[in-house]
Amino acid sequence: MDGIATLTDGKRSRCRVILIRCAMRLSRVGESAWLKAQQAGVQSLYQRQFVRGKVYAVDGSGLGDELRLVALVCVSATRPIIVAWRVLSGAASEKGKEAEVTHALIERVLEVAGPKAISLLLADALYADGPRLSWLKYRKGIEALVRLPEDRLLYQDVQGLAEAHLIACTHHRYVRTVQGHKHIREVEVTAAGDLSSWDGKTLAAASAGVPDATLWACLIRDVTTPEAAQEAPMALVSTRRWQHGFAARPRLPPPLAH
Amino acid sequence: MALPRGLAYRPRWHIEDDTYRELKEGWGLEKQHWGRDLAAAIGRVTLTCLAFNTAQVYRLQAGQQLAAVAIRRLRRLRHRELGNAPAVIYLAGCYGVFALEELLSLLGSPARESLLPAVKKTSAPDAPT
Repeated sequence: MDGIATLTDGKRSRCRVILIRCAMRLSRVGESAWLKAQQAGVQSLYQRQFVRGKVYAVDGSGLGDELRLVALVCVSATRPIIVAWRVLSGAASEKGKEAEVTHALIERVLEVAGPKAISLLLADALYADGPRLSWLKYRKGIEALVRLPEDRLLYQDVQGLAEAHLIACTHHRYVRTVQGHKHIREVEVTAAGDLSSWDGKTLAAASAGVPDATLWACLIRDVTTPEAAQEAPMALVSTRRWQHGFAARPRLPPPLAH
Repeated sequence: MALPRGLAYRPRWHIEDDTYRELKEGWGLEKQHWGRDLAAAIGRVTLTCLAFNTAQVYRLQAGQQLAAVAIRRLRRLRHRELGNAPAVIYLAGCYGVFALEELLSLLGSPARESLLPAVKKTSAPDAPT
């Protein structure tokens, strides 16, 4: 992405002529024109069936201090394809506010790829918002599997059920390869369905004509080492019921080197 | 206990590792904004995401097949008319594909020597516009 340096009196100038000229012209192009380019580019990928699978993920990432990129990515295949994106600036680019553009990104993709293009949406804890999950499930027919923050009532509910042994806890042992080395990982998983203690979600579902909406949630505790077992378990929440918690488990961070 | 096969949340890793990390470390999206102007940044991001997708598609099996077939077929069809390095001119929503010789001629500086195998009428009559 470097520009082309120019020769001046036999010395190589460090001035990136191409980039400066290019940026000056780019700033004259309006946001709507770039949006059209985005839609045309993505539409051609769908038309040629290069975007396969119905599992998508949404996330944001900072571009320096002032900008934030939020992208909706098809993660079904081994090569992810970015199907919708938006650059946020100013107050909208603050971490935590990025989830507000999720609706627009999803609407854009459904418009291009069809109303059943997305079956499952994966997101991190910033997107764990009741009305948003409800909108996905009951308005758009999209299931969601989202990381559940520890400060949520639902998290504490599942934890309470597990500690009181009211729901079963299963132990799993598996081998993971990290940079060519095999590691044994052990986790304990607890899952519970028919949870209705998330007011935001149940209220929004009720407004959509589903008075008895419930959620499924699971806790995943890494028990590979005594140190890891001391940490708070990771939790996931979903609008659909999974066979058990291990079926929904995330990629856990690699174990610490000893 | 036997391990189940469906690990539903794991593909989310693709957006962290194979998308944002690629965009920032591979495509320089974070280091080079192409200016402080928001419009320039949006343009930069759009062009980079489209290029990223194009690269991803070419790495797919289907993309590799398409690329190989399309390039050979295009070369067979257009080589005599357009030469090795045709120019694509885009203007006001329309585009045309021209041989460099023809483009130079249109611009008032005809080439002194043509490298085309046989030039009768260089602009493809059925080229999309």
